[in-house]
Amino acid sequence: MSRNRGDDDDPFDSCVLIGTPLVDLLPEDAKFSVKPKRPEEQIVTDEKGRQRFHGAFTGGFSAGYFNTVGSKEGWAPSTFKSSRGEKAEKKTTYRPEDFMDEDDFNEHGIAPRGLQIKSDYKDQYNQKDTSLAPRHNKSDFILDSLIRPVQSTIGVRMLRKMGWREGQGIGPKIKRKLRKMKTKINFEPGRKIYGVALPPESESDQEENEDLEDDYFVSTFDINDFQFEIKEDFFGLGYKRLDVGNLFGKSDTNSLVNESPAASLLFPMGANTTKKKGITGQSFGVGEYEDEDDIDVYKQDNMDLYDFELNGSQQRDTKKLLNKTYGFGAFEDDVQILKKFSISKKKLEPSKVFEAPQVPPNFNLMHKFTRKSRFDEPSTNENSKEDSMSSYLKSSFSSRSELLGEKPIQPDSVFDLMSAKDREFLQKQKTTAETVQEKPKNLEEEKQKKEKRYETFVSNSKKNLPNPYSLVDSNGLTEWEKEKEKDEFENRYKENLKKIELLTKNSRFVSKATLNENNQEIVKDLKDSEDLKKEDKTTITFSKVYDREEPTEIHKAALEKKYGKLTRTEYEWRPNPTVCKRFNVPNPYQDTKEYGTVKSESDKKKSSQFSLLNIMTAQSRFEKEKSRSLFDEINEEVPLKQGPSHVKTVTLSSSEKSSEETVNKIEFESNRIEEQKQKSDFFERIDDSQNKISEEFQVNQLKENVYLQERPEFDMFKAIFEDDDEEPAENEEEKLEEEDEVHKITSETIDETQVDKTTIVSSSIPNIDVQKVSRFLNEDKDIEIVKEVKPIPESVKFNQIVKSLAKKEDSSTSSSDSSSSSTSSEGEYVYEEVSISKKKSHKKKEKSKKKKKHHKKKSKKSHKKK
Amino acid sequence: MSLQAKIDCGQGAIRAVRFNKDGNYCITCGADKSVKLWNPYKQLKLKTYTGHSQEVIDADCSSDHSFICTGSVDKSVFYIDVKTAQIIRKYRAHIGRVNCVRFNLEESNLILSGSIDGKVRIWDLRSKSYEPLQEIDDFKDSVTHIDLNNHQILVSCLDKRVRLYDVRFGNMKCDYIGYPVTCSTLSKDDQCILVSLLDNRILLIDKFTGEMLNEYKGHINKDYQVESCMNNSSSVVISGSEDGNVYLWDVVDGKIKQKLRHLNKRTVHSISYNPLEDKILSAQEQFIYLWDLKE
Repeated sequence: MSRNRGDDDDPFDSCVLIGTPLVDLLPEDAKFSVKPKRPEEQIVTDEKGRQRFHGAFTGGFSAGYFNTVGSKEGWAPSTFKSSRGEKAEKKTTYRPEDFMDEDDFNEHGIAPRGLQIKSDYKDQYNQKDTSLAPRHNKSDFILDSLIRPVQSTIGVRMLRKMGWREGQGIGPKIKRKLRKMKTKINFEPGRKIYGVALPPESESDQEENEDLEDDYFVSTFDINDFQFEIKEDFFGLGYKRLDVGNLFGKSDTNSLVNESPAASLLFPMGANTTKKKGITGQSFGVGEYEDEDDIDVYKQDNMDLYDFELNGSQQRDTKKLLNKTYGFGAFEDDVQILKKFSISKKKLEPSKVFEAPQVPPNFNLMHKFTRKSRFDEPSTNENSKEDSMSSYLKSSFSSRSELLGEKPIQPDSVFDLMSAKDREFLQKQKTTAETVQEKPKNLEEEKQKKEKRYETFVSNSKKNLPNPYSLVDSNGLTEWEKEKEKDEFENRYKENLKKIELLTKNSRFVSKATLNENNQEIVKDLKDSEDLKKEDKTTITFSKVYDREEPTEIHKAALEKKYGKLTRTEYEWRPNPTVCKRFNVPNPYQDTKEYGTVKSESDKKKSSQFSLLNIMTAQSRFEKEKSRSLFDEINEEVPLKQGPSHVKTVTLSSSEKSSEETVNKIEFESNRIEEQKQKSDFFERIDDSQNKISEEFQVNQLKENVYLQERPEFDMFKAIFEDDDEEPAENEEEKLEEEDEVHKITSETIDETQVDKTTIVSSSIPNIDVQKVSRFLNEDKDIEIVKEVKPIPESVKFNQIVKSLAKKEDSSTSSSDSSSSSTSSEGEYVYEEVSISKKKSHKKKEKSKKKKKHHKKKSKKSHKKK
Repeated sequence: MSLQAKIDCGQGAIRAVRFNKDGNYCITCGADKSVKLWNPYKQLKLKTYTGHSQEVIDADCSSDHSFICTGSVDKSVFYIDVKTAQIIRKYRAHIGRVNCVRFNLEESNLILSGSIDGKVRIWDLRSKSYEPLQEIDDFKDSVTHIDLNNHQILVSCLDKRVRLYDVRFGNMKCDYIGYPVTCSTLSKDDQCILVSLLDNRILLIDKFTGEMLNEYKGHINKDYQVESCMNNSSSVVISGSEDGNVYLWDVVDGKIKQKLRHLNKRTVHSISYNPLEDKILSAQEQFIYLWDLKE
């Protein structure tokens, strides 16, 4: 019977408790947590404190979510996700791992995944860990572990198979008694100690052993390898000096190491030693913190402990016994041999020891660095050897063969292999080549000849011959030279064409300064063109076709600040449909495909231009086709951009203007400056070619050309259309209808009214002769050829001739404002039209007659309408 | 009215200074072949765009601020990405130096470039072609300035004419001025054209009739291409001058309202009016000046 605790104060003092109280089985601490945890509280966390599913495989206390299967969200079935980018793999077979938890793969899980030591090697490690052998220092141990063999040695393996285990001694098992005795011998005071003493058996062990039967067979003690301690100090043998490093509990060397658990694994010894604090050592007393009280502090070193002669001690027999049983010399005598083993009669030959090679006396142990910094250049000394090697490798085959002492190979001449005929030919070639080389060349003569050849080349190429160089007289030149010259000529010709193109382009622009000075000639030196420099250092001078004088009336108005109607002109401008689109604006001209500024008729007259080159080039083409059909190839659209060089247009003063029309008159004027002798070869060549034109043909053609180039007098058109009283139609629709017919009629008239036309032309422009024009270009005479010009722009078809005629009177009021844009193609277009019409006319001569009549009627109609 | 900032752009002579479309930034074209993007209010250089082989004459910002187009003496027109400074396109078709470049207003999908070769070329930024979409070659001399509104293109030329191309109506109005025109701008109210002449004069011309409305004198403009513009309310005419001032005239009475004196007397040739606020940028030598016109 017992009373409750604290009975003095208890209100239930009077209560009597009957029975024996239950003994408190739980410890004091546990008493507070008697209350069972609710399932919500039973959260199991992993080692990192995270709430985890505690796998059933690891016998977790809480499986799933609060002891339920699944997660917080409930039991979530496995999801299947598959997208185009990431195709889900179809899983057909499941491995046990799929159902396992993270924990199971841990080190202690059922299927550990980490790297582990195989059981074979595990023991080795354990042995080392528990090894009793002292270490000289830690680095030894580390080194040891580094070079630990992967496989245990064959001896160890054999022993294992025979039932040996680590930690046991090797040798036949002995009776326990004997072992005991041995140990006693070992630890007998006064016994000499070799090397390091084995740890003494604990007393309790001894006691236990005593209890067991004595005739047990036990394995002998293992003896570790002898570890010889290196003597590093100068104290006497066996003297342990004071270890000051341990004074403060931690030795300096260990301070860092001990902190990490890994380090403690690495340095088990170190970890142990640091537990001891204070100064340790033989000559120092036991410190305050020293646990080892049993150390004999006042121990006197007994001289008996040391041997003074080999094998001279009293315990020789026991020592011999010990030797025989284990350790060194265990098998020295034949007494105890393992079963099935016999001592071999052959003594092992001592392994051969090779002497170290003799170091040459002048060998310098210290390595000398040739380069002080890696940025220094490698010394040549070192590389000299390599160089010699590489030079050897690079050396020619013959020199190497010489070095090797081979018989030099005599190379046979190629000529030996050739036939006699070929050899002769070659020899001939050689001599001719030499003579050619030797021949002193008259450079001037050569140059002239070459120029001549180039001229013929140019004329040939103008004829569009397939191979213009083939016709050039190139005698006395070798094939190679011919090839070279051909290339040279071609390049030169192309360049010249380009230059002329450039000139025409440039001629469109005037600097501001020159713009202000009206009618001043602009002379440009093309000094940069090297080619021209070479050729007699010609400087091409050309005047610009540019009407710099503003239309006077407008100009006047502008000067008087009367801006407005007078100064404003409106044109039709057709934007590119895409431009409209980009501007987010509907295309104002949806039905037409052409775009750009469409100039009104009056403007067209203004912008009239006449290019002499047009005529000339056209002529050369006429000539070209003389042999064939005359107009066949004119249709070929060849961009003739040869601008109006050498031509200067000047608008005539108002007094000179013809009564009815404003006429752009072209004044051909020579550039008097230097042209007589210095002319670009291009023009010369054109001239040359022109000279060759047969006169008769030329005259005829020219007349035609001129006719077409000119804007015929109004009367003439009247005559053609035979509309004496009425003006030509202005109505657009009418025009469209008539377009074809007009086309044909004009062509027809060309054929039919050949005689008339020429007379007309001659009457209107008495002196026009393009031949003269060309001649003038050659001779540079100041001939003024006044001409009426009517160019027809590309975009405008023939029907606009009619239109222009109608507007002719308007134009008379507006002064001539020739635009600078020299579209040489305008003139060309005329030719083409002519050619087409000519062809057609030949075919449709008869038809056209009828149509002509028809047209007359039509035109009459239209005028009546008006 | 005050000088707010003076920035040394460090790119040689400034050929042009341009506000971007919201007036928060500006670009400068330098004689050192570079274009620089600035925040003029903070005097911050934001980026440098290089790539031209000769000095850059004019530049423009696209309406979404993400691209720049530049025209240079090297005859090329560049289309540059503002952020990365990458040259997206290089257009080379002009025969001479490019005097002026401009984006179309609404979507900035065209570049119009005027050149000394007397042509205005329109480049399509949408297509892959490097050929101009359209060439306007009515000019008989160097094209000096292009201005645009939503459907009209105003081109000034040294051939003494100002041409107004109307994309919507498909016509071109050519006004003969009588003196080489260095700059022509459309007023913000879209009623007038401001024309700078190489005659120390600026004319205000009615866009619809071509009549002269007013004339502004007092500044010097004889030799250089000096830009002029009107303020956002079309009440003030502003022009640079060759005597180191920016002149401001009252539109109606034509009297000089104000002179913005620069530090030295060299030509102030490029000005740019902030599209939203009353601020002007002017360029003189290697400096750009930011003026606040608020009183």
